[in-house]
Amino acid sequence: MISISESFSNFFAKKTTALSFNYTINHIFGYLKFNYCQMTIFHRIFYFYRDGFRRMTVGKQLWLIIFIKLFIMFAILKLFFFPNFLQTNFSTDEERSDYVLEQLINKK
Amino acid sequence: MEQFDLALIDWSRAQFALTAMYHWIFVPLTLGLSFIVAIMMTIYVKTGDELWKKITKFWMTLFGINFAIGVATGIILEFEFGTNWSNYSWFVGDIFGAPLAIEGIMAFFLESTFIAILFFGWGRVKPGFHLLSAWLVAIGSNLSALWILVANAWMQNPVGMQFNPDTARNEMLNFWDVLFSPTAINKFLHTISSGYVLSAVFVVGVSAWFLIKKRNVIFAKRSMVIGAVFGLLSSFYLILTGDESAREVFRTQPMKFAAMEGLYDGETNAPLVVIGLMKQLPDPQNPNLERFAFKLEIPNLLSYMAALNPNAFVPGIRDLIHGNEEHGLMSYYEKIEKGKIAIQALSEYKTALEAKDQATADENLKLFKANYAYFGYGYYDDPHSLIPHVPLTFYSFHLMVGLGMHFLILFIVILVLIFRKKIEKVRWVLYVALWTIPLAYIASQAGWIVAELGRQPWVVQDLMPTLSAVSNIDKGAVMTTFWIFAITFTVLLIAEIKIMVSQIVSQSKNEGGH
Repeated sequence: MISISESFSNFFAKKTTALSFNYTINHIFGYLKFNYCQMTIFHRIFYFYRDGFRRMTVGKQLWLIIFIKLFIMFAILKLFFFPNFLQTNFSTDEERSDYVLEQLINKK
Repeated sequence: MEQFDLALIDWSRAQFALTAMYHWIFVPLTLGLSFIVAIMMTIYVKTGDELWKKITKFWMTLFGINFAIGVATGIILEFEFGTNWSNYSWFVGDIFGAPLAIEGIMAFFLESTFIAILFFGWGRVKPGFHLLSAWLVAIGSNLSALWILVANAWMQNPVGMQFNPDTARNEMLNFWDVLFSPTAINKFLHTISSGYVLSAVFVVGVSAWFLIKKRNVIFAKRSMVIGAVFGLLSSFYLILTGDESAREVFRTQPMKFAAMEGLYDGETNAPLVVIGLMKQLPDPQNPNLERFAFKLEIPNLLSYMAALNPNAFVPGIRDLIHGNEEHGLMSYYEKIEKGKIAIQALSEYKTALEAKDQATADENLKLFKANYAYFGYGYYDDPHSLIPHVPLTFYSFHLMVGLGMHFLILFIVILVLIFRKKIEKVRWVLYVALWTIPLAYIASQAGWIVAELGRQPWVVQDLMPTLSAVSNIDKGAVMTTFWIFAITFTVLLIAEIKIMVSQIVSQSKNEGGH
């Protein structure tokens, strides 16, 4: 058995050290071919994503665009320009129903 | 009576159209390119050929760029529902909410999970699982589209629900009626197949550029074969689903159908206008006016395509406005009367309930239910206000169909030239393929214009027009956000084009593909 930190080292050194095999985990989630088999599935997923992000080239630029876009959408537009009209102006569903009915009946 | 602000409605519509059309720039390429990448990866996994791996990675990168730039642009539409279209959001109730919620879950679990495995999984997951991820990304993307299109189809043909006059909401009676309505099925199939054709045009066009530049020739030819075969099969499917969609429009939205064909006076043995140049806006007050400066027609074909019967009667705009007893068409005048009765009955129902007069309430509820199918007509006095913009609908429809035919012919020509080993020599075809890329986007947008502008003034067909759907908010705020969106989306589009072009150029210079 090797420690988790050792298995990290092995992984980053791109070694193919034979490790003890946690059959149950790998039977269920056996698709991930990492060397650090003693880690929980959550660790594996974490490092799968982390390494994936680290190796990205054009992806880094895209993530930057995604974050800027999401910031504009949620922190600026949603917050300052797009309040939910009925949620903001009325406190109960009954009031909302009455308002919409009023609109449907009297709008011309 | 409250006076509605036409400028507010127009700005709200313009804003929604802008965001929907920009969103639709990104979506169709995702729908089709995901399948093309899955097909390419399947070939790689089966053959082990490194060039196929390279091809898969290249198109996957372009897919990723498009996905990343386009992702979440649709969320803005949901913001707009809550702010600008609050009456509509409330009115449609859980019918719109349920499909959108499923879409969100689908998108999150299928796309988000498997996209990461698709992009990060090279050499880190088993090839079979990696391939499965590619197919699941494609299926997930398309299933996401299913739910939003089901919601849209319900607006075009509201089924499977009942209006609750106490809550002012439509309540779902049968989820399966909503999901499997012919309108929903046709809309979904036609929309995704249009995305497949657009993606195929994109692959063929980019590959043609490689061949024009004489770079990575084998790489480009292999990509082109996949693109053209996928595009050819999708084109046939697009035609079939388009044909069925048009029949569905004929059944459920006859005014839109008449506008698509510029058909003013209905007729039996109606001819199909293949190409037409409208002289001026149709004038319902002047029925004898010739509306086409030029038109090329095929006799009987419109009747046949609409009802699978060359002798069938196809109603024109005037028949719908004035009615046609011989063919059992109720006039818009009568529908307006019924709509007004429904609105009045709803009003009196509410008043009676407040006065605790149950008998009057029941009587009005019965009257309301009997006329609810025409509820939306009651907001109008002049039936001519219920005619969509005919020239724009007509030209958009004919442009879409014409370009669809162009794509089909292009795929056939490309495949013939590839199999005769002449594709590099016929350079004009390569240039046509390259310049067909923007045409595919134009055709795709034209399709949405037909679908959405052709059904005006309805937000929910026959039940809710735009004027009663819009929120009573400050017009200035809508104008401000319109321009914020216009700038943001334009920047995003420029970023996408720039990053994509740089990736394409970079790949073309990488001679490892030979």
